[in-house]
Amino acid sequence: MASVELRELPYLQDTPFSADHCVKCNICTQACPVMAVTDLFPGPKTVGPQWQRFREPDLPSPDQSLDYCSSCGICTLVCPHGVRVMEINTQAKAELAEQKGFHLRNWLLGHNAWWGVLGTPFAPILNWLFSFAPFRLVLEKSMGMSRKAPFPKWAGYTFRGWWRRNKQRQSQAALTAGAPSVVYYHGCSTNSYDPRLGKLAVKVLEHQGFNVIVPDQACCGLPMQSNGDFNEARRFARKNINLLADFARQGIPIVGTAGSCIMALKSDYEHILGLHDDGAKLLAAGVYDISEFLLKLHHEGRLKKDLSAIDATVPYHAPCQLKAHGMGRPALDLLDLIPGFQAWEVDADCCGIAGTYGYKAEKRQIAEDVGAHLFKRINDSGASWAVCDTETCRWHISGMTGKKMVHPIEIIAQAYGITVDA
Amino acid sequence: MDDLIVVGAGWSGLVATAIALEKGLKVRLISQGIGTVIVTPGWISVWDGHDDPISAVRDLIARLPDHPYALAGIDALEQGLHFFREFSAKLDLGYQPVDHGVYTALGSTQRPALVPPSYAAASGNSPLFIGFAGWRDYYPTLSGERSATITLSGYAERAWDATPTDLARSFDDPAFRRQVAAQVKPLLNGATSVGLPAVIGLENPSAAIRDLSDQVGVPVFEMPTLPPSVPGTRLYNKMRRYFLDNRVRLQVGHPVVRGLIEDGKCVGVEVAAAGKPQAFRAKSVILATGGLYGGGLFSDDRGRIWEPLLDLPVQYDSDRTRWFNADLLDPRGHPVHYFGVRVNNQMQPINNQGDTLIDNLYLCGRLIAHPHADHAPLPTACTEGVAIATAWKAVAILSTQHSTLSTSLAGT
Repeated sequence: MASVELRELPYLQDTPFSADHCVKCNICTQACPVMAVTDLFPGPKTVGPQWQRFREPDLPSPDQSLDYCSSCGICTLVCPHGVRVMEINTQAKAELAEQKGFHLRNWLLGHNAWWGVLGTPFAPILNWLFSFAPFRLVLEKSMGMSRKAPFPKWAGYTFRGWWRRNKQRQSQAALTAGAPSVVYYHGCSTNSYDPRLGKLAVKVLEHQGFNVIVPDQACCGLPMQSNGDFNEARRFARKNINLLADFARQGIPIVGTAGSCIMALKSDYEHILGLHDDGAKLLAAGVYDISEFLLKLHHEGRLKKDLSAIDATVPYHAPCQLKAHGMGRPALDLLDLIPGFQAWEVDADCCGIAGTYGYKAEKRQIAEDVGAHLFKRINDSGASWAVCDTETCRWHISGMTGKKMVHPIEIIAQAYGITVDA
Repeated sequence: MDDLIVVGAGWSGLVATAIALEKGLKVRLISQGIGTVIVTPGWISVWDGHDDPISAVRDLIARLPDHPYALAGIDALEQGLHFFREFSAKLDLGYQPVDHGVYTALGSTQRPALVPPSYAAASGNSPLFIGFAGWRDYYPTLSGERSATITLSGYAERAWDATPTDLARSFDDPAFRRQVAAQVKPLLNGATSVGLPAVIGLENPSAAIRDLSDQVGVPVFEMPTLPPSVPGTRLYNKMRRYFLDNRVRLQVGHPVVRGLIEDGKCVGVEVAAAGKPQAFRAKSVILATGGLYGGGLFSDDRGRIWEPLLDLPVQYDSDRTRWFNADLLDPRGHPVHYFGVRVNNQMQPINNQGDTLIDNLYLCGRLIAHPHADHAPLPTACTEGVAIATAWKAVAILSTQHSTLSTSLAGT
């Protein structure tokens, strides 16, 4: 058969120009989870491809309602014509943020990577303070940080600290002759709030016979990007490209447990932050969500098969930012390999939290309403716990349902009989 | 590995997935966005305009052996329609045959074969058409002689236009319906039924329409709106939930960019995912990617038309001046809408000589070439019927192949 033609004209793939593909069919409008619950947002088509025509680099933005877009990206996914609706809106939001100038709360939320590390030595005090209602009320009244939003608890030690203390683990692994290497990208949340997840991920990867490397790495930049600080987000993106792209160049896979951070490395650097260099492309092609990576091993016949049975049927939520990978539902396909275990996907687009969106007082109710259907179906399922790949979503769903939320790798580790200290 | 990958989430892809699920197959549905279900009225056209479309199709099959209906066969159409009725009942949408014309927003009637009950609920010959003050998507004076406009609470003070979906969500609320009924009732003045744009409920439309009819005192019926189509959205949302509950892998977003061919078989597809391409493999593949509008065919300004995933041969006229007739609303339709890929009677793609190209690849819906002949339906007048018939036939063939395969493997 003859060679297949190019599917798209390249210049129309460039994010702002993709608006030219829009035929105003309104499929994104009916699917937008935010528009479904508030009158404050006129919808992705309106603020995206429609208003894009009125956005001039030197003129003020035509409307502020854009700020209510949560960047969940469901619009981009449901668009049958290839318009990057969410990406257009995220870029426009950054311009809006720049026009408005410095915003303390959004700056704080954007830099959560720092607070995670800086707060670690003071974990007991901070954990008490952030669960102390009057303090949360002050935060809400003074800077608009929702008092109902679920703050994670500082673990009191960092994943990187644990890694450093286990140097002999590294050197021993390095001695394993011929063992293939894999880089673990832990992200900020695993480092400061949930190091246990990182330890499980390392052990599961080692169980597959890999020599795990944990190199220096930076926050993915997504919280800054979401809060419209593109300069800062690009600074972090550049750091990661400099620190990690070489591994990709050597063919060493970079694997992460945070679905949305991995999405930033895979796609946002190029399509939202506009970094089109070779380093960004190498990194994008070289990173994997951990379920995606393990499933790839399975397809290649390289995944260890000693998964013992877990008798459970539980709901699974595919986060909006995981759907954006376009890799299907690798967590579900992977968990299907565990005898007796069944996870089923809830018909929900987004849990509502959308990174830092649901932490903002003026958007808190929207974040709760967007997730209402998901919370109801998890509650109605009768299961006492559920599965989800990204941390803020797990905190939000857990806070709204009272159910325990776990990362897929926790279940895989259990099936392998792998345990770690808390 | 999956039993079946379906590419496309329009009418034919969704129906093929439902049928394959019924037959116990493990299905993965991959689609660039949501398909045309959400921009069409949400009813089933078998051959619009015919009082007895099945008899008309029987006659068509005898005359036009190349028509998708003839290739799929009358049994596939009838069994597929029967399946769809039962399936829609399971989703609480209860599609039903209609023995009279259904109203459109522009004052004409249409004759689809199966409709959601709310489209067929008009009774008597004196309907009252109701519009909403300030809503630019529907003007009741265009629908019929008797019309009126009411004011919806909460919408007057909104800064921007309401969409049909917004209104449909409001109609799910009993208090909102009470307020609508209270305004409509005094306007009846002997009207035998009340026509509204199709926005009466999103999550639970059957209860919303029943309740509104009870309160108004005469049957309330719906008419298709401008996109997005609420009846189409209801169907899509309920199918999605049913699919996920039954462990179909539903991947709406990134496009399939090519089919993977090994040893003459289509072993899977490649998706243009974030960062790097992703391959998905299955025993069989259904292409339900649509025609020129749906994105299943591409064209350029030199008069070429091609199928982008596997470069399947497309039956078309390379003289671009003959793609369109002079009259926009020519009743024979424009030739360009009939172009497509030819299939055999097992829905497998064939070349000009009639040879089967790939025997585990199946085509459904508008991607298939339609013969442009007199006394044949416009492709738009039989879209859903062709989608259902071809999906039924394709899944019947491929599921037989799978069971033959597993029987022969079990024997070795």
